[in-house]
Amino acid sequence: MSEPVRVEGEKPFGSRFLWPVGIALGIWAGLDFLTGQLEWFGTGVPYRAAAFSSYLLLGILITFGSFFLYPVLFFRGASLKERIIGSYAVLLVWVFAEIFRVSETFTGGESVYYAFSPMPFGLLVYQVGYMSLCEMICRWRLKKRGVRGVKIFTPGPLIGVGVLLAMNYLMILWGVPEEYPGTKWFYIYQEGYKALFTGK
Amino acid sequence: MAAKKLSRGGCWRGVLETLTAVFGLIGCLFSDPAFALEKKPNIIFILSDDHRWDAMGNMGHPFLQTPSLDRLAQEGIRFNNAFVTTPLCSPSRASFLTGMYPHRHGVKNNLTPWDDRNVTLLELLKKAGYKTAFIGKWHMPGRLPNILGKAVDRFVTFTASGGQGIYFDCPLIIDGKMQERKGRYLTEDLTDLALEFIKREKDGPFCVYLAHKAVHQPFWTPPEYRKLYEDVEVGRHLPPEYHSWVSMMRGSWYYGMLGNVEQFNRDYCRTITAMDRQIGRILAELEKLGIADHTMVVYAGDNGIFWGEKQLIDKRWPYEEATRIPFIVRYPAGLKAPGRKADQMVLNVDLAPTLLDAAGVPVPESMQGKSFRPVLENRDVSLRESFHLEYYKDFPYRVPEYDAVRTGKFLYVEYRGGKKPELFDIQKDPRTLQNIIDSPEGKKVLPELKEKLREYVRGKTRE
Repeated sequence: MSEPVRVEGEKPFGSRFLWPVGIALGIWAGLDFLTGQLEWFGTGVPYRAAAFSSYLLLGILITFGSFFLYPVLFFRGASLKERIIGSYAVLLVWVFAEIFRVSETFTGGESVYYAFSPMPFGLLVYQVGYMSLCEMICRWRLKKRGVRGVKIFTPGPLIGVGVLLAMNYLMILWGVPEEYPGTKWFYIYQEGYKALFTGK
Repeated sequence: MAAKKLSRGGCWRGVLETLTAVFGLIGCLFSDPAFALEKKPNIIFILSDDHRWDAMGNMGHPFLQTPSLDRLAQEGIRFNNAFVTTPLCSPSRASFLTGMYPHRHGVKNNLTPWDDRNVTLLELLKKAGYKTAFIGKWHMPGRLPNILGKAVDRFVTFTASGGQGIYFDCPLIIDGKMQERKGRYLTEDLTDLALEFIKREKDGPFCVYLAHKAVHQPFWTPPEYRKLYEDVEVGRHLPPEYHSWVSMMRGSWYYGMLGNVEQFNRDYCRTITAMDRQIGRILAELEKLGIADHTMVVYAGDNGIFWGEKQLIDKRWPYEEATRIPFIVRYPAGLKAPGRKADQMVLNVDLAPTLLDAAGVPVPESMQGKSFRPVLENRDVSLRESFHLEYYKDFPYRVPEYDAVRTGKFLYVEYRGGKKPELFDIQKDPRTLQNIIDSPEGKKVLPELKEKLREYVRGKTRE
C-alpha cells in the first residue's frame, strides 16, 4: 500500500489543524446560536432573511463541511489522520449536539441510536466519499504544480468514492425514490428500533 | 263461531286505542324527520390525511379552491370545533374506526401494531345488515388486519412505502390479492373503487370507509393541477414566524419536507383541490343513482399540520394546528337546518358511536366517544366541556410524550421529560403563542385544569 500523500514543508500543529478546524467549529457554533435566536429579527422580512441565510449556511456546513476543510488541511500540510479528524469535526459536534437535544425526549440508549438514523449516519458516511474526492482533487492540483511521483487514483480514495455511491443508493434510490427517497432504509432502521427498544 | 260480546268499557278502550294509533301516525308524519326514517342511511366516510381544519374554501382560505367540500358544508353541518385525541396518523385512524382512545385500542404511535381483537364500526354495521367496504389507507403497524368477511365485504388497501402508499402507480391489495395499478393516480383510483362498490350496493344499506393517502406529503397531483396557484404568493398567507427552511429546523429532519416550505404549501393546496374533485365525483354519482338523500356523507381529516407556526412543521404537538380537523356531515334526509356551523366540541372517537347511532345499532360500552346525533338533529346540547389529548413517543420524531386537557377556553399540557408544562388561553391567544402558566390568570385556573387532567390520566392508567 502506498504512503499517504502529504504536502511538504509541515506547518505547526496550530496553524495546520487547530486554526482551520477551530474556525469551522466557530462558524457552526455561531450559526447554531443564531438559528436559536431568530426572534431577535422580529417576524418580517429581516427575520425571514436571517432565517433563510443562517439555515442555508448551517445546512451547507453540516452536509458538505469536509469539502471545504479537507483541502485547507491538505495544503497546510496536515497528516492523513489530521485531515480525517478535522473534516469530521463539525459533523461530529453536530451529531453529539443532536444526541444531547433528543435526550430530552428519549432515553440514553434511544438517543445514541438516534445518531444511526439515516440523516446523521448517512452524512457521516458521505464524508468518506467527499474526503476521497477532495484527496484526488488535491493530488491533481499538486501534480499540476509540478510535484513528482503523485498518483491521483489509488485504491483508498477510489474505495471511498465507491462508499459514496453505495450510500447514495441507500439514501436516495432504495425504496420509492420519486416520492420517498431512502424509505426502505428508514423502515429497516425503525425495525431495528423496535427490536432493540420495544422487544417486538 | 261465537261472537265476542264487548262490554261498554271494552268498547271505549278500543276507540281510545284506535285514536291513539291514528294520532301517533299523524304525529310521525309531521314530526322532525331526522333519523325517524325507517330506512337505514347509507354511509360514506371520507378520511383524508394531514388536512388541517382551515384549509378549505368554506373556512375562508385566501386562495384554496374546494368546491365539493364547500358544497358539503353548505348542504350539511360543518363542525367548527372538531379535534383528534392524538394528532398522529395511525392512532387517529384507529380511533375513527373503533371509537376508542389510543390507550384503549393500542395503536399508540406509528410503531405499535393493530390488535385484531379491536371491534370496528364496520364490523358492527356489517352485523346489522350493512354491506361494508374499507377502501384506502390502513397504515397501522403490523400485518394487515383480518377484517375481510368479518367486518367488510370489500377490503382495498396498500402496503407500498411502509403503508403510506404512493400517489402514482400504487399497487393495491384488493380482497387479499395484489394488483398493479400502472398509470393511475391513487386518490382517483380509490374513488373509482368506492364508486364501483356504491353502484353495486346502491339498494343499501351500505357503508364505505374511504381513507385517502391524500393530502399527505409529498403532495403530488395529476399534471392538470401542476400550474394551479402558480401566481399566488403563498408566503403572504403563511404564519409570520414561518421561514423557507423551517422544515430543516432542529429535530425536524424526518418530517419529510426538506426544502422550500412555500413550494410545499402550494403543492399541499393543489393536492387538496385534486382530492376535492374526487369528492365531487362521489356526490354526483349519489345524485345520479337517486340515493343522495338517504346517504350520509361524512368528511374528516386524521389530524392537522403545521406550516411554520411556532417554527414547527408536521403534526404531533398538542397545538391547534395539529389537533383541529375538518369535519363535515351531509345527510339530506336526516339533518335539520342544513348549512349550519356547529360549535360543539366533537372528536375523532365520536365518529363510530354517531354512525352506529344513526344506523340504529347499539353503541358498545367500550367506545369512549359520544354520538353527536343530537347536534345533527339541531338540538341545543353540549357534548362535552373538555377532552383529553394524549401522545406517545414515536421514535425518532422528537416530540415528547404528553397528556393534555382542552376546554373551550384553555389548553393545558404536561410533557414527559424535561419540557415544562404549558397553559394557553385559546380564546385570547388562538395561535397558542403565550404560555400563561406563571401569570396571575394562569395560576387561577391551573388547579382546576390540573385536577381535570389527573382525572383523565387516572382513567387511562386504570386500563
